[in-house]
Amino acid sequence: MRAESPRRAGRVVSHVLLAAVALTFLYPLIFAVATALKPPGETFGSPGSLVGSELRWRNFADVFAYVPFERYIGNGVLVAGAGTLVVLAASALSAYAFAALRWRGRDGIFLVFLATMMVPQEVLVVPMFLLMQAFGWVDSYQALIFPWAFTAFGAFLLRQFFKSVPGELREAARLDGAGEVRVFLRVMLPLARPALGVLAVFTFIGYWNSFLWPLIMINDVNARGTVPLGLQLFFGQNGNQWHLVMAASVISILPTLLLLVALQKHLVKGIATAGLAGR
Amino acid sequence: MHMRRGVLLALGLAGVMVTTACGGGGGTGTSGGARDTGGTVTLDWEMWAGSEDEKAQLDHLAALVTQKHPAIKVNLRTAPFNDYFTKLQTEFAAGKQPCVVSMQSLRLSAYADLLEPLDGKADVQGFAPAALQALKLGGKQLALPYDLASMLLYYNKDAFTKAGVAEPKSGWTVADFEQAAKKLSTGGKAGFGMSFADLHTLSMLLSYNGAQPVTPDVKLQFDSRPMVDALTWYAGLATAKAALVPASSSDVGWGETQFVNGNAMMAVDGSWNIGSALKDAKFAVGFAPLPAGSGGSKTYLAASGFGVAKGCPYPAEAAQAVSVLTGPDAQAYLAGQGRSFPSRTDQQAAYEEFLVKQDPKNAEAVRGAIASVKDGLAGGVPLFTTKNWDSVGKLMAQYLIRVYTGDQSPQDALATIQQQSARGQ
Amino acid sequence: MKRPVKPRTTEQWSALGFVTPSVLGLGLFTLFPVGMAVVMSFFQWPMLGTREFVGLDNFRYLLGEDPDFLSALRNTFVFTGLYVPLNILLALGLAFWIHRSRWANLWRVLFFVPAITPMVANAVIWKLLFQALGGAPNVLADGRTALLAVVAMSVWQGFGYNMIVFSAAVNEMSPSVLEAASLDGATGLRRLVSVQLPLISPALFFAATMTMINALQVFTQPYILTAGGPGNATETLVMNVYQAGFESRDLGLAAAGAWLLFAIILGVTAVQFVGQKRWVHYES
Repeated sequence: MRAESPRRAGRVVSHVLLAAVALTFLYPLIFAVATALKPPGETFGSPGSLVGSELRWRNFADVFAYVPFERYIGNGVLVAGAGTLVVLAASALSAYAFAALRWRGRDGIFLVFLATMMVPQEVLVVPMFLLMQAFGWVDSYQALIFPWAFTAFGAFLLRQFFKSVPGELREAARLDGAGEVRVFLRVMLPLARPALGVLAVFTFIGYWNSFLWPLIMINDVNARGTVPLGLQLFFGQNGNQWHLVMAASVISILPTLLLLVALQKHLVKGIATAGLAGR
Repeated sequence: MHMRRGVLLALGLAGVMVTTACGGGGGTGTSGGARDTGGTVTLDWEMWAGSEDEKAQLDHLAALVTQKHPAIKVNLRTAPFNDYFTKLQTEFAAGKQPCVVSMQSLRLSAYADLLEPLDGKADVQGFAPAALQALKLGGKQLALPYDLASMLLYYNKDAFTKAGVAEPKSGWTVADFEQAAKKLSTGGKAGFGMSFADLHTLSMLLSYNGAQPVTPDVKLQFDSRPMVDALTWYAGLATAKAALVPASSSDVGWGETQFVNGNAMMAVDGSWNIGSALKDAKFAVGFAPLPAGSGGSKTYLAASGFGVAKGCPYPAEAAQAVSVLTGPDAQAYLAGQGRSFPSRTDQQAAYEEFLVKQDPKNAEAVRGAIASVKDGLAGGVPLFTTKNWDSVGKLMAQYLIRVYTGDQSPQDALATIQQQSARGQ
Repeated sequence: MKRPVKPRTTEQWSALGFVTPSVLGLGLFTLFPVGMAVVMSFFQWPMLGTREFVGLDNFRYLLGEDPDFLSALRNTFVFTGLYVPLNILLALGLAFWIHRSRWANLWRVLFFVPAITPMVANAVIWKLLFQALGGAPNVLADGRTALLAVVAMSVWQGFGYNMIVFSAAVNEMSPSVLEAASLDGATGLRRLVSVQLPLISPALFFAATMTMINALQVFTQPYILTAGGPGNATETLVMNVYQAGFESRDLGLAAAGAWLLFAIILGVTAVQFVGQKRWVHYES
């Protein structure tokens, strides 16, 4: 017991410190929520003050009255959800080949994969637009989903995690007569759940926040527009609706936040907790 | 092996692409319209729009076209205002531009080669001459206007009363303005909200001593003597602590935002914001012409309108559509919705009535605002811009702020802007 | 290391099966536009108008005459040099710190929220905070501090990604190895450096590489926080590319700028890959 209490006190101190750090860190976000509740024309009044002349909860309702924001959220969830699935599938498959199989040309192709990450999107936009036009995909969901679904980011991330899975596990499965597909599905994927979760979250956010490409690709914003396009609608020819921009921004955090919370337990259930690490 | 093959493949494909792009891209191909078997022509019309209300207004205009010409249908596509031109130029680059293009006078020169001149194809009767003039380039009418704007001085009536400063009125001078700005700069608030945006800043310089950044034959002259003098004066407002300097080069709407939020007691803004300033400000707003300098009060004028893209397969129908979209019926409708100051003289009164009805207790302010706009139109000149005006705007944001903060002399900053934007003007 | 049990050719074929979707997708949607961008860089290719072959003129202009390119290069390096270490240290420190907390999940989500908040909102808030700090001129309008302010906001906004990656890796640290280490008497800093960091080194390597690539491509934060100003104090390489492409509408120049950026990133990444053999430990 006596040895316990200093450790316990240490834990409390650690948590109090952590809470302080988190609060400082989150201050800008608290500020963002407070700003979302300010009346129009007060967003920039006396910078630094948290509240305006009233707490205007109506701003959140006004977002949906001003533009069909719920539709942008729906479109965003659809595009980001579908895109995330494609990315997870393609990345996991290729990452397995890069991490666990030996084949000619592997390192060369991996290098090309990595190199493609280094090309800024701004450069690809016009050629990609022409390509989409050739496909007849302009103003479609698939144009928002597929062009950016085959990035090397996922392959690289999963490869790093696959590589830290002990080789003996695979060898053992192979000796049991399992084919590569079986090893992949039964051994690697379950072990890589945290990494897949991480990739899912990152990919979802990437799609969710993507702006330049949907802007250029989507003509009918109300039918297929995504959240960042919707946010831009509050910046008008006749001034900006800053209070609505802030309210809409706060709303737009929620879907990703929900996904993150939902995936939490997968993010931490790794090799260690699955009890497979005792080699 | 694999790498080399991949590169070769990409290069080969790119070659094919270039060949096809040369045929179809760059606005030389036809796009933006189609005729169905019944003979009805559908034309794409691209326009900036934000709220649902705004879109509904535009849909109403599109319906007016079909009402007048049953064989023409207009298909509206919209983009957020800030990104409209990014989208439009990408579409032009890929040869997928709409038939009916919405255009602003400040952007006109960049798109001049891509628009079909409308002279002789559309009716130009009834427009305010200044509005037509603003959308004309090289003697050609490239678009027809639906609105017209001048720059005004917005001021905080309450602050003026409180400080015992006489309110600005028609004919007030630069000296009056400076004095007011200094007197109103108390208690952490500033008398004036500065700007580096083109219309907002350049109009003040123009009114001060007639300085113009662009010659009549559309060449940049940022480093000219009058420009240096005018900027020295303008930046002096910051040195004298009579004005709020923008917080960063990305704060394009600084002056007017600080004004509405009550941090600056005066700001320059366009006539398009009269309605929203009255609505959003928590104080009484007044309007006046820009302070008169050596040559009297002056302002730049701007207009927005609709033109026909080159490469539109049905240019005649598109010109007819533009005529309806900017016609008396459309203008009457937009004025009644309070969209913006109408380009047609006959409908301007209806706009004033809309603003008055919107907020009857501000009737006097509205009448004053409209009178100031009319003043501005009388002494106004269109701001003609170079092809690379986007780059010029960016340089103004980056370098004027250095002058305001005292990091760079007006001469040096203007010389930098001039030098760096010489390429591609 | 054991040899694969199966004959080589089988493994070759299954590998082909595994990578085909990605290779096809990447080839079509990335390599192909990239190839086109290569071609563009040798042209004077206005977005609106006729194009003309100019050989290496675009590259010559960027390296010789462009008043902004070299300062953009310098700013990008300064940004990267500050951003990457700060980001990794903060993410690593917090990942280890919250790992031991009972509410690890909560902290992880909290620290990640800025990463999912729309950048427009983040920028507005930071501008207001900088403004509330007072000071004339504003830190964002002062050439000496503007880039530092951009770094601060970027680290705050972006380190959550790496913290998530590190958290996942820390959770995967094999307990048996940790136990063995503690039996050996390894504690505190020595345990961290000689046991824990090597265990998560693949993730560390991934994070360092990706953060570096992203930092070299930094665009949004300075674009909306400072628009490259004051002067060109916060202008970065991708901003330079964007400016050439979407403001000057010179796609050839934009493509050439992108190729120079690409070459730089490739060089930096290659160095990291060569260097990884010294410090990254894979299990298999």
